[in-house]
Parts: sequence; structure tokens; C-alpha cells
Amino acid sequence: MKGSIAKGAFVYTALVGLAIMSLVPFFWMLFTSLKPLSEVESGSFLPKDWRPGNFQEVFAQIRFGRYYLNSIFVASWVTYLTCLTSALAAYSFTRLEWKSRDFLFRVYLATMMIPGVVTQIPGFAIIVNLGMPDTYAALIVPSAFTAFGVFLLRQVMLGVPKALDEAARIDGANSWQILWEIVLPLSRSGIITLAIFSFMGNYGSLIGPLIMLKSDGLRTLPVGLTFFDSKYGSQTNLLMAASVMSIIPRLILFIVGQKHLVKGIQLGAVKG
Amino acid sequence: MTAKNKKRAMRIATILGLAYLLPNLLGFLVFTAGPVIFSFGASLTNWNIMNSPPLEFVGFRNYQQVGQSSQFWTFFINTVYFMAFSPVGIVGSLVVALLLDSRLRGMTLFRTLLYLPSFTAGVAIMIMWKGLYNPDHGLINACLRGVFDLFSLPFQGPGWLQSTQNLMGLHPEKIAFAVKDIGLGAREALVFMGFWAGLGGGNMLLYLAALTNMPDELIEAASLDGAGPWAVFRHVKWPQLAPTTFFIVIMSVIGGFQGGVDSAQVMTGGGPAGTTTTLAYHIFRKSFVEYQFGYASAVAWVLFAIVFAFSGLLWKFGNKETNY
Amino acid sequence: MRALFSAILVVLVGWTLFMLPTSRDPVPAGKTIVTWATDDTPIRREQIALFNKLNPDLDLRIDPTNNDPNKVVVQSIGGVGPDVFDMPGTTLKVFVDSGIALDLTEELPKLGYDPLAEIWPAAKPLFAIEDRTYGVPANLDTLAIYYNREVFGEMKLPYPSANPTWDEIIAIGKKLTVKDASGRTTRYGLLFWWDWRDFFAMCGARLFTDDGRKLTIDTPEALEAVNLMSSPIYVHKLAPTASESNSMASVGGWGSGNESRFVGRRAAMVVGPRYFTGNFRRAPDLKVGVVKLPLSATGSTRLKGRTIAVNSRSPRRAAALRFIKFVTDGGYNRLNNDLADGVGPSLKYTEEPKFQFNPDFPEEKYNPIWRQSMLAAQPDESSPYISNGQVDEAVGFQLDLVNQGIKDSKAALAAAQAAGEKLLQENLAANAALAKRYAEGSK
Repeated sequence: MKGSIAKGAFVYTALVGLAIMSLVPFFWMLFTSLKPLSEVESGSFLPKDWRPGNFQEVFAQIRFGRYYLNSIFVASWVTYLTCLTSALAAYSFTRLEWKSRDFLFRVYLATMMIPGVVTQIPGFAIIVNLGMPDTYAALIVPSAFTAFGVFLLRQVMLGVPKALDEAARIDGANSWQILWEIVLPLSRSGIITLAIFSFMGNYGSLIGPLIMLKSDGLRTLPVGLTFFDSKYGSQTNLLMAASVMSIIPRLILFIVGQKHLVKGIQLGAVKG
Repeated sequence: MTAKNKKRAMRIATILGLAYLLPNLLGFLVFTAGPVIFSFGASLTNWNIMNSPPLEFVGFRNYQQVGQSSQFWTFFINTVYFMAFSPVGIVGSLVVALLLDSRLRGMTLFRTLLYLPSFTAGVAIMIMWKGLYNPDHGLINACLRGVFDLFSLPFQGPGWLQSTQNLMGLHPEKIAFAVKDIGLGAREALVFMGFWAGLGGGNMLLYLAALTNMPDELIEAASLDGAGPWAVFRHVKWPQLAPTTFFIVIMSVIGGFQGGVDSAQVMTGGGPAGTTTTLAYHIFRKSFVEYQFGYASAVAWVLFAIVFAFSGLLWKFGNKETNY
Repeated sequence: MRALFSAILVVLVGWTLFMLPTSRDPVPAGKTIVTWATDDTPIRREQIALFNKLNPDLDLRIDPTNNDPNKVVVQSIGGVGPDVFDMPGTTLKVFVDSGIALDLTEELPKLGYDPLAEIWPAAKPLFAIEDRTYGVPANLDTLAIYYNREVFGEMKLPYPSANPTWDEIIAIGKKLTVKDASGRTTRYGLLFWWDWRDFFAMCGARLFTDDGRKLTIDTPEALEAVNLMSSPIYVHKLAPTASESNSMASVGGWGSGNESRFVGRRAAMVVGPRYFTGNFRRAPDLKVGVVKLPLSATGSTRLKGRTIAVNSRSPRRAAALRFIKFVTDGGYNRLNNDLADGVGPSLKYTEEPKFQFNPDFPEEKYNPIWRQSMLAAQPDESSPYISNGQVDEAVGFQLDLVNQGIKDSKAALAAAQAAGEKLLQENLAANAALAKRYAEGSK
């Protein structure tokens, strides 16, 4: 008993220390967002003159609501498609035996090793040839088929015992049923992790959407926020206000997602 | 089963396997594989988007130049230097995940708090770090100064982003070591920032997901046998975490070799004296500052070969460890 | 699991049906949309509003970039570019040689505009190559010294003279520098950008020989420039170190850290371009004066600017040309001069009384100084054999070592010269046509 108290104390101390380190930058953002422009550079952590109106000002200067909606919309689609197609592909790579399977998987992996900078121009040319520039599709489709997601879920599915699907197969289940009723439920935490990664990554990306877009109505938050960050006269306080607000959907997704990262599925329960 | 039937069964299995893969494969071929193949073609040309000299096929001349360029090897060393710290980061994430996996109250809150740097990361936070590293006025040196004053020691703060010093004593101008080059400089500044951002981030989450997915029976059985926490970790959890560790290590190698572009753009400009220019940033500059797309593609493919070889070794090694 | 995936799909499809029709801003009947790739800022929006008012049949819209030309390059090479776009004037050659920028030599006279007669003469390399014209500067700018009149008043110091010398600025700057008890500087005498090209220009140091075939960054003038740049920091201790300047850059409320610290009275003087003026207006209590930057006998300030060009593949060429015409006209130039976004491309509008003294901003009595400084400014040199980026790499690398006290200026410049020459030779080795041109010796 004594040992577990000491252990608890140690765990909490370590976590509180880490949490403070993580929170400082967040509060720096928050307090900067509440300062008038002239105080941004003052060097003090807290504002002297509190300006909650900065948050309204963000909406007055740019179409923040629309950009917000676009960002969530695009990131949701990308997350959905990534999870779905990666799960199917990972299933094929781990559970089905077919010719040149492992070779193809290595090709998948290999493409991740080429820096994105050198594929930007051909990537854009393909979008143009498909007639997609300046559409939602240009933001969603190219990001929805990542080798990363396939690799991640493949590793997760490798951890799901094969004995379970063999038992189901003997009971007459086909591969489609095994996928949905055994492998995917048991890979739940991996899928949630992938969903969190895809959403966070896509929601924050700037260069891709910047290149693909022209129309104001399609802009995502990172593109829209460049308005406050121009070399010639940036409004750092408004940039921070907008950034603080833009964290909210990510935060909600994370809180909801990680709630499901709990031990719910007992191995014994799925048999039969 | 006759050979013919076997062949047929195999063909059916392949069709089925491809059918599951198809939704992903189609997008993958068009949006990922296509541009990648294009870039290989580009690496065999003098493509610089300009019409003079006219676009022509130059064979492997770009690759020859990459090999002869002293810059390439300098930036390669920079890249490897940054990657050398990634095991520390991975172990750190594992420790945090183990802490968060304990059955104590409030862990969901802590998970969220520790993941916060991943929400706030980005340009805004890099700007903040630039301020923190300011040698004269920054918070970090102020704290260090306080500690030194406490013990009445003379304080000469690290130059951080201004300094070419590093923990290995690498010389800024040639490939050599020297004691006077040992210290905390721009490279370490970026490494520490990376630790901060990564500790509670993606790798932690992956470990946490794997830990929560682990059947309780395994751990309980081991505990009943009288195994202490370390023994449980070493003999039960660690082997179960192997696929996750393998994934994290491979992704760290792939990501590490391509890293350093954002921080170089926002914080250091690749300096001081090129010390924070990684290969990826070099490729970026060759592409979008000098428009040498052919040459930049060749650098990218040399980088590819290195990563491929390296992760291939890991794969072989990892296969043994994880029994796949 | 299957139910979850299906449910999400239904929600997403439904959501898409809502998002699609609302994503496009309606095109007013009979209007043509023209896109301008530039950075989205409040100033840009005013300029666009003026254009759309003057051209009721067109609807000019921003295609946002983040201050670098990469988007335009990727889009134009990849297939569809904007109709008109901004670029840094120094990258003109890339956009011309790649065929992205339309040749306007015959078009501009048809619009009734003679760029060589109307645009600031020194700016020619920013929009023309040899005798062909490919664009019009969106705005131009150069450097001068701003000082905070109130700080001078409190210190009971006379303002700097209209044509100061460096010795004078440094003497004043020393008096204005304030340190706290622990020896840290709480107010600097002078701030400037750690940009060696600024100081090379001031000292008349050349980067290349006239034919561009050889680098000349180890000359006595170059050494003087580097010493001039580092002495306020390391000798006179009235300016922040390079790393500190760097750590402040773009933290602030006004773009770069220097403007913010000047506004926050953490510096008494700052070297800056005219666009600072526009930003200083947002601090209504600030009282500013401007004097010219000290130059050596052969020196000049640097002339910088963005150039607007027409995409050669734009299907709306006529509309794009009307935008170019707009940029050359009085409306745009006067608006630009009033907003203090540098100065407008056409010289003559700075001769008008409203530029000399704008009653809307009665405190700003220094516009004539900007005009004089602009007339004395010169654009950056360039060589066909080595890119600006490569020269920056060679010189910047060595100056980083000077900064840390690892090397003295002279050795550093010699090393930079050698490194630059090596890069130049590598360029020749990689490009037979360039090597041929080099051998023939013509620029």
C-alpha cells in the first residue's frame, strides 16, 4: 500500500511538471491574444490593458466563420477517407495472402521517403489535369490516400491475434465479415489514433491548400490567417486570438477520441 | 489439389486482396506514386523551369554533382546530428505513455494537457521559442543565470540560436571536431524544442493506444507470479509494444531525414553558418530559392536511397525482433 | 463499426450538399473575375476596392500568397496560374526566362504608358531586362533613419542633422542607450536589420565586376561595410546583437521586431523603409522624425520593390492589362503614397503637393526626404553566373562566424569570396550554355 502511494506521488509530480511545460505556451498565446497591438512586444506575460474585443475583431477583418467551417469540413472528409481506405488496405496487407503483396507494401513505404517539395509541381499538375484546382476535392482527395495510414493500421492489425479470425472463418464468416466484426473492432484504438493524426495534420496544413486555392469561400484557417501575418504590418494579437479559437475543434476531437482509447474490448469477449 | 487449381486459387486470392486495396491504391497511384516517379525523371534532367538552357536529359550528372558537393555532406551530417537525438525522444514518449497508462484519477485530463503542444505547435510557437532562446533577454538563459547565481558561479550563457557550438564539437567550416566547438548552440536549441513538442505528442499517443489495447490478463498473470513493475514491463509490455516501436522507429527515420524545414524557415534560416540546414531544407532552397528542380530532385533521390537502405536494415532487424 | 462508418458517411455527404453551393462568392452578372496573386493585407484590400470601383465590369480578387513567389511558380508551371501576380523584383529573370511573365514591351505604349519615362529610373532592372519590359513595380521602397522625437526631447538632445554622418548617428545613439542596474540594455540607441547588403550598398562595396564574371566581396569597401555593420553592436554597444535582432524578428505587432521595439520605446532610432510609416500610424502617440541614411561617396541606399506581371497564359489578358494600367495611373499611385506602402511606381506623383505634405497626417513632414532617398537608391546587383541566394549563402555563412567572434571580418570576407567563386565555378560546370557565355565574357 505504501508503495502504491509513493508511486502515485511520483506519477503525479512528473505529470504536473510536464503539464506546466505544455501549458505555458498555450497561455502565452492566450494572453497575447488579449493584448492591444502596442503591448505585444512589451515583454510582460500578462496584458496591462485587456482587450477581449480582439476576438470579435478577428471576425470583423476576415471571414473567420467560413474559414473555420471549411477547415473542419475538409479535415473531416480527409480523416474519414484516410481511416476507411487505410483500414481496407491494411486488412489486405495483413490478412489476405496474395501475390506481390509484400512488394507492393514496400513500394507504399518507399514513397514516404521522398520529400514532398520535389513532388509539389507534378502533384499540382495532376490536380489541374483532373479539372480540380480551386475546389474542395483538391484539398481532400490528394490527402486521403496516405501510405502513413496504411502503415500505421498494418502495424495495429498485426497485433490482433490471427487465431480469432481463423476461428470465425471456421464458423463460416467471409473475409468481409471478419474485417468488420473482428479485425476492425479490435483495431479501434489504432483507428482512433489515425483519425486524430489525420485531423490534426490536415487541419493545420498551409502550403497544400495555399497552392490549390484561389477562392475566398474555400479558404481554410491556415490560409485565411496569413492575413494577420503579413511581412508588412502583422497583427500578432489577432493572429493569436484566431489561433486560440482554431484550437477548439482539435481539442474536442482529441478529448472525445481519447475517451475511447480505453480498455473496453476484452479478448475473450469476441470469440464465437 | 492440382497445380492448376492452386494457381487458380492464388489468382482469386490476389483479386480479392487487390479489391480491398483498390480504393487506397487508386488514389495512391495517382496522387503519390505518379509525382514520385515524375521527380525521378526530373532528377535526370537539368530542369530549372527556365528556357535557357533548354530542358535536356543529362543522365546521372546531377547525382555525380551531389556526390562531389561538400555542401551535401555537411547538410547530411546536420541531418544525422538531429536524428541522433530521436531515440531519446522516443524513450521519453514511452515513459510518458507508461505514466499516463497508470490507473490513477485524472489521467484523461493529463493526456489532453500533455498533448497541447501538438495543437499549438506551428509558426506561432516557433516564434515564441525564438524569444525564449534570446541569449541576453530570453527566459531560458535567465533561468540558467538564476541557478548559476545561486551557487555564485560565473555565468556565460549559451548562445543558442546564434551559436555554431554543439555537443559533439563539430567544426562549422570543415568536417572536423574541436573542443572549443563544444557547447549549446542552434542545433541543441532545435533539439530541445523538438523534445518539448514531441514528448506528449504523436509517439506518446501511439504507445498509449498500444498499451490500452494490451489484454489485462497478460499483466495480471505476470503480477500474480510476483514480477515487479520493471519485470512486467521488460517481459510483458515491451514485447507487446514491438509493432508500435517498430512503426515509431521507421517513421522517425523517414521523418527525421526529411525534417528541419519549418524550423529553419521560421527560426534560423538554416544558420548560423549553415549548422541547422538539413538535407530537406537544402532541397527546399535548391527548389524554391534557386529553382534548380532537376538538381533538387537528385538530392531527394540520394536521400531516398539513404533512407531506404537504413530502414531496410531496420526492417530486417525488426522482423527478427517482432516475428513477422 | 460498419454502422458508424456508414453514419459518418451520410453526415458528410449531407454536409457537402450544404457546403458546395455556399462556397463560391456569386459572380455579379456581366462581370469578369480577375485574380491577383499577392499577400492578403488591409492595404491590398483598399487597392482592390479602388480598382473594382474604377472598373465596374471587372471583379478583381486576391489569390492569396504568403509573401513568396513559390505558389505562382508551382501553379504556373503546373498548369493554371493567376491572371496577374506579384514577385520580388529580384526574381524577374526567373519569371521571364520561364515564360511565365508576359512581355509587355509592346503592350504598355498601347496603354499610353512609357515605363522608362514614368517609373523611378533606378528601378528599371526590377521590371525590364535589356530593352524588354515585363511588368510594373507594385511599390518601391528604400531605407532612412527614423527617430523618436519624444525620446530626444526627454533627453534634451537636438535631433540628428538632415544629412548625418555615421559618426554623428553613433555619437547620438550612444547617448540614447540606457542600461539597467544589471548591465542589460533597456533602450537601444539604434536598431537596424542585420543585412549585409544594406551596408555594402551604403559603403559603395560592389558584389561583382561589371561583367558579373567575378565576385568582389573581399574589397576594402566590403570590409568597411562589415565593420560598419558590426561596430554599433560590438564596439559601441548601442544596437542589439544579430541574434537578438533575429530573435525579435516577426514577433512583434508591426511585422518585424524592430518596428515594435521602436514603438515600444525600447529603441530611440531605427533604420527602416517607408512602409514603417504606415505601420507607425497605428500608434497614434508616437512622434517620429526621419533623416537620410549616411552614405559613402560612392554609396547608395538599396532600392527594393515588388513587381507586378501578367501571366502569359492568362485567358483574360485584356482585363489583366487593364489592371497593369491601373497600377501606373494616378489613382493607385496616390493611394499607395497616402497609405505609405513604400512609394508608388510612377515618379511624378511624389512631386505633387499632397505627397510633399499630406494634411491628413500633419506630423509627417518628412516625405521630401523619402523622395530624395528614393532618387539616390540603387537596386541590387546581379550576375548571370551566380544567384543572389548563393551569394547570400556564401557571405551569410561567414558573417555568422564573425558574429560569434570566431573569425575577423577580413578573413571572413576572404573565405566568402573563395566560397562564392567556388559556387560560381560549379554553376558553370553544370551549365554548358552558361559556361560558353562566361568564356565569351559578355554580360
